[in-house]
Amino acid sequence: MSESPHLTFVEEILLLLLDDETGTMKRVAPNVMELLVAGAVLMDLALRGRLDCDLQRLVVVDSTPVGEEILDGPLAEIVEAGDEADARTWVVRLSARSKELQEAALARLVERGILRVQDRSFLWVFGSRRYPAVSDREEREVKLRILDVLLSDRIPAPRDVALICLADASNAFQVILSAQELRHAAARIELVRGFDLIGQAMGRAIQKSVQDIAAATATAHHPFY
Amino acid sequence: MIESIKIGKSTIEGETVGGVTVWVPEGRVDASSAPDLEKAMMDEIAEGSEAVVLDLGLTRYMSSAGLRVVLVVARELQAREGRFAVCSLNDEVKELFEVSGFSLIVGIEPDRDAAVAAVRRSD
Repeated sequence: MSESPHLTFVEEILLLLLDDETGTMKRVAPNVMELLVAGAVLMDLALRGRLDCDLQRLVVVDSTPVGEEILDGPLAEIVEAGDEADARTWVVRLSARSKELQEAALARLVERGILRVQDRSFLWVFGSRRYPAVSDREEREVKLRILDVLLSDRIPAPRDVALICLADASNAFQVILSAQELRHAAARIELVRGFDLIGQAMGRAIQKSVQDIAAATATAHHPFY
Repeated sequence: MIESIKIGKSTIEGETVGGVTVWVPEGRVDASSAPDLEKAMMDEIAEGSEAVVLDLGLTRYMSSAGLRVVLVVARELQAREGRFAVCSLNDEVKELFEVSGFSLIVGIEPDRDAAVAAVRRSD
């Protein structure tokens, strides 16, 4: 059983990206989504006292399972690796499990009664399924917590810092903030996302991935002869 | 005088200097010691301690778990309109504060005297 009543960060970010009307996810580049999910898992494990990190390495400090499938598989993988790679390396490594983790998170949201499954054949996301929200209370709470941090000078709680890192990396702010609010909050987002070292590492991994893809695309359009 | 707390080989000393509570964690502030440091500091704040200094002069190493203690304490004191400063950071810890942006939300002073003076209320 889970030791915490909190949703996992993977669940929270999926709720943030959920379009209330269609039950589909906002489109996020697949490589970005994979790194985002991995970062979410690592931040969760750190806040639940299983991992710790500094600027050079990420270490396991408690290998006791959390009781959430989404977190315990990755934790076991990090324990088994037994090395002291840095947080960015682990974001990249765990991104390989992203699809499985997203499916598990959606199943958990259905199990919790927050989403329900409705099969459709034409939707692009997660096979042919869509996930209309049964209750939008959790989703509204997530958005309100983010807005409260961004539109005030209050020092955020660690969970809210992590959520802001994830929302920023997924471009979810473009959905939940108006253009004016986004301009107003830009400096604040920049500040807050630095507070979490794993969030920083995830941001760097995403930035590198996006740059690599842009470079590969440019090369493809301008081949050498 | 607040009783010192033993965590493994580490010690966290706490004392009150002219109305200012000063915490001095020794050795490593990481996942093994951070929960006890956080509990000690938050308990004192709950008891009414509103001017707090975290003296890192004896802290050799701080991890992200240690940074979270700073965040949680700073947040609580801000909510209570209290004052908070850290001081005596070694180069490695100072780099961590700068890279994470904590130096922009928490007052950093060179030594304990300066930190105590910074958080002491003028009224």
